[in-house]
Amino acid sequence: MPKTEITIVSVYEKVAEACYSLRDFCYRNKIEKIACSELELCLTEALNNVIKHAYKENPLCSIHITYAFENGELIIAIEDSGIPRTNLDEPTLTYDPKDINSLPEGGMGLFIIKNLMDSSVYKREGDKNIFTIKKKI
Amino acid sequence: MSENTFNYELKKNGDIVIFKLNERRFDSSIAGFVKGEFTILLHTEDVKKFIIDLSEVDYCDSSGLSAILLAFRILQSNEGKIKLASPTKNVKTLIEISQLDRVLPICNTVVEAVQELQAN
Repeated sequence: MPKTEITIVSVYEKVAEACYSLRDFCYRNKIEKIACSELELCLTEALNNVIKHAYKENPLCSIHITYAFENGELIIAIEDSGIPRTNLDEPTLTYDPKDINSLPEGGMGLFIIKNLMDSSVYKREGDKNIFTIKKKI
Repeated sequence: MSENTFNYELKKNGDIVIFKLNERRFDSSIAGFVKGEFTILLHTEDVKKFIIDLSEVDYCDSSGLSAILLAFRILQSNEGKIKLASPTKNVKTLIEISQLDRVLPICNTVVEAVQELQAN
């Protein structure tokens, strides 16, 4: 099973590094460009959430990411030691286009992930958050 | 791109201001700075017609969208108008997934965006 692991520090500038390694992983596993772009976007959104919510933008923390390609699925597991996720509700995005106050300021990340991936699972293991997203290729 | 900054060009065409983001990635690493620039520009220059040229942006995440929404909000509150010009396929897809194509007017080219704003 092809697998790659990378650890980044918890700053937004390092998210691109994780994306480059994902792109390389996709290229080596002959995953088509559209799927790779969708995976990259979801990885970015998930990492942004970890930096912003789990680590509260503390730049001294680390995030461990694993990419695996197994049984026709690309699996990305993101592991951090930050604050546990509290909102486990199904992400939705409802607003009135005529009402600018109802436009989403944030919270679009999980909605985007839900829409582009085949599954996303969050779990807390000990002092770690593990968020796994999967896409059938 | 160096840290804490980003590359862009500003042009004026009559009363229309065109902001071209010269970055491949419009993500969290620059979104805050772009928001700051939009806030200063749109509040201090009394801009009513604003085009964001996204032709150089290969990749945008929700924080990039959030910066665009900020510009949209400021302009709406000043009775101004915004157009997004030349978004690449990835960016267009993100806007559609986020359902923001319902509120953000998209033009295929800057010329088209200018023409539409001039007609209003």
